[in-house]
Amino acid sequence: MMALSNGASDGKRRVLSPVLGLLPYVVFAIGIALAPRFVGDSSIATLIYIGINAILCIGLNMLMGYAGQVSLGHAAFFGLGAYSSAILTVRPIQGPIIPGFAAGVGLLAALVVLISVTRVRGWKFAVGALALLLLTLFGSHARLSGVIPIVAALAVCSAVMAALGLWIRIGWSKCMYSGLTLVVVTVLGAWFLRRVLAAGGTNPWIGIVAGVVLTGLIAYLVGNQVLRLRGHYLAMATLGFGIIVEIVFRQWTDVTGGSSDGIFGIPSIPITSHDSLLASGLGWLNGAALTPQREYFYLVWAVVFVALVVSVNIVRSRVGRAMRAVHGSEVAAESLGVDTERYKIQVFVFSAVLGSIAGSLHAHNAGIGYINPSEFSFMVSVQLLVMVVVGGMASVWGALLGAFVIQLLKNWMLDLDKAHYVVFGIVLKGLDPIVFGATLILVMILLPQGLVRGIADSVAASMRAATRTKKRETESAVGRTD
Amino acid sequence: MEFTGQFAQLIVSGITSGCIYAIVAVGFSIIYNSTQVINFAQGEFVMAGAMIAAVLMDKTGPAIALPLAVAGGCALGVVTAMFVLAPLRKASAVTLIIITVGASIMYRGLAQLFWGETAIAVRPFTPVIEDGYVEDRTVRMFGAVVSGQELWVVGVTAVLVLASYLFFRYSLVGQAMRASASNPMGARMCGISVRKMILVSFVIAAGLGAAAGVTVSPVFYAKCNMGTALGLKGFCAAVLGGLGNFGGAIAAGIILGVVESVAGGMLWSDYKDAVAFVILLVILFVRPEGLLMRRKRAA
Repeated sequence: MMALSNGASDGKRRVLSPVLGLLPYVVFAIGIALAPRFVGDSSIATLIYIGINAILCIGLNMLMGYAGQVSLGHAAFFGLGAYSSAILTVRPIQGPIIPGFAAGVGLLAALVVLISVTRVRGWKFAVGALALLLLTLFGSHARLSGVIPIVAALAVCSAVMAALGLWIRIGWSKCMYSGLTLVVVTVLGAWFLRRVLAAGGTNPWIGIVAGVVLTGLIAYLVGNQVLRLRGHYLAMATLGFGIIVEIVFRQWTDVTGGSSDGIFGIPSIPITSHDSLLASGLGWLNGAALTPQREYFYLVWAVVFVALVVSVNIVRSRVGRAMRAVHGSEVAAESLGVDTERYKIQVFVFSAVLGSIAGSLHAHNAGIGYINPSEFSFMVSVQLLVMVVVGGMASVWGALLGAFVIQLLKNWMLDLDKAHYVVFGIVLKGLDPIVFGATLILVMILLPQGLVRGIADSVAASMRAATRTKKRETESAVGRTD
Repeated sequence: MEFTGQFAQLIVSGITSGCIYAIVAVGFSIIYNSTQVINFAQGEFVMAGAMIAAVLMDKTGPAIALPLAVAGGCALGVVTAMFVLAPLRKASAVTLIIITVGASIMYRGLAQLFWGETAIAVRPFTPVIEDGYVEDRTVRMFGAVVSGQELWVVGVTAVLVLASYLFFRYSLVGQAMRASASNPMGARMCGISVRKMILVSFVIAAGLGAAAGVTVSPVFYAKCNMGTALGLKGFCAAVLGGLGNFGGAIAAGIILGVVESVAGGMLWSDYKDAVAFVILLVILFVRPEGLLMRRKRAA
């Protein structure tokens, strides 16, 4: 009798489970769609920030919570995305910088090809990288216009790399590809930048894609080197990387505007034209005509939704299992045939790309459209850490919650700053580092799984214990009647 | 002549900052040896020392400010050790990293709350008062102008390094600390409390950092956000010299200071701060076991 009823409920569960599994997403989507109807403009602004932070946080959580790799320099990727978007849309870099800029991107791409195709290491990689660097320096000074010089440059670069490959005994044809990449990317990059310059800025979407590509290349190169390090070394290396990028944002004033000016006047991203079906649909959801800000809200949260779905699917896939295996024990995962390095780099690049998209959205934020280097400092990386820790490591939905809670806390502390409370002759101002630091310490000491996850786990454990005792009681009762 | 003069000047300032990096690196090594933890709050100990100096130096002078700052630093070390020790038994590396990062920014926030965000000028140890202005004595040496405080930095560093060497080599506590570093289980069996040794190592590292902070504050000024960069550069020196290796840490600290100063002064003045971090990344990529350390045989 009991077995039968169990089977029936199992069957019901099996039918229901896909529906139940989708339920949170449906609720979430409806929540996003209807939220603007019920909240005021200032809350919409806060929600946009929360959305941007949520994207960042989902990315960092994949890296830290699931794969167990700490990054203290995630603000760098955020900044790379933001600056790429901002520079390409409003502040086309000055003419003379273009060849060098394009050659730099070309060098990055060529290095990625060199690493990923030939899989060289150590001094061989150093020689290859040096050769590419010299070719880049040569290329950025040469004026490449017209077909014949480009073909000649292609020939020279690939020949040099092929010769190098022969000399240090890596596959020469594979090595040649990196030379080819160098020239092709440099030429295409220079052409693209010149067009952008001539047009006085590009479409925001192209800026986002360019940011993603640039960030992805850099993340691949950095990750490829950094992720071989473990624990503390990794944390320090990412921290150092983050600070270097911030210094570049501050000091490279020709391109980034430096720390005093920053870049302003970045346009918002229009998603609909005013008379389109989508616009009227969103307007109906909103309850009134869309303001640019509300339109932007939908865009940001749509990206959050996509990021969430993609992340949950990755976590549940083969890749996700491999990632968790790496977190548990890298040696064990490797001995089971998991290519740990590959998965670590993949998740690093994935989280960097999410960071870059969040950065672009931050740059284009409707009604603000201003960025400066202090928005991508070490403190921002720490704030991301706090969001992940509060939301709970290894919980995609928790990341969302972490972003929510921390942004509200930040707003609250901003109000506190304005209120000028004085306690014992000290003006309570700029409390964020203290609060965030204390949060990190407390959560890590008391619930190292993270706040949400830790509480959820302990609740689940106590519920399990309760059902177990209940079951035991019923079983013993059944035994007695038998 | 002008070139050599400028060069000598850069070397002098490089050695000054190098001494501080060296002390921070020694602090990293002490804590790493006893806990296998990299203490991200190491730079904040230096900041704390500098801040206490900023308060006390004008009124009292170095003879009182230095010991008080060291005491303050030690107290901070105890607090940090408590945070780290609280979950130590079951803690993963990630947890400990996050805890020390949290401690670091919390201290920084507290300093910002009490002292504000602006850099505070600190009176040198041996000042000259001229027309009501406080200035430092200067000496000409090897074609460079060396301020009295820079000599103090080098002298204090030498004393601190010598003292910690003697402590670890000869004192009973120092020997116990080395024992628990090299074999925690064995040390526990000999009746050494590993927890206590960890506490002591934090106290010593923090005291060293605070002393360095006091001596360097007249040169660098006291600023609430000076800790992160100092900590990272000190870590760079510690890795260069091989983590846990005192002699290597000191040599590497001074080399790093000089390289940074010369590269920053002669080549890329805008990117002076980035030089040390680039070196750090390159070292971590190429030889994470340190340049000055013998490569461990593959086990």
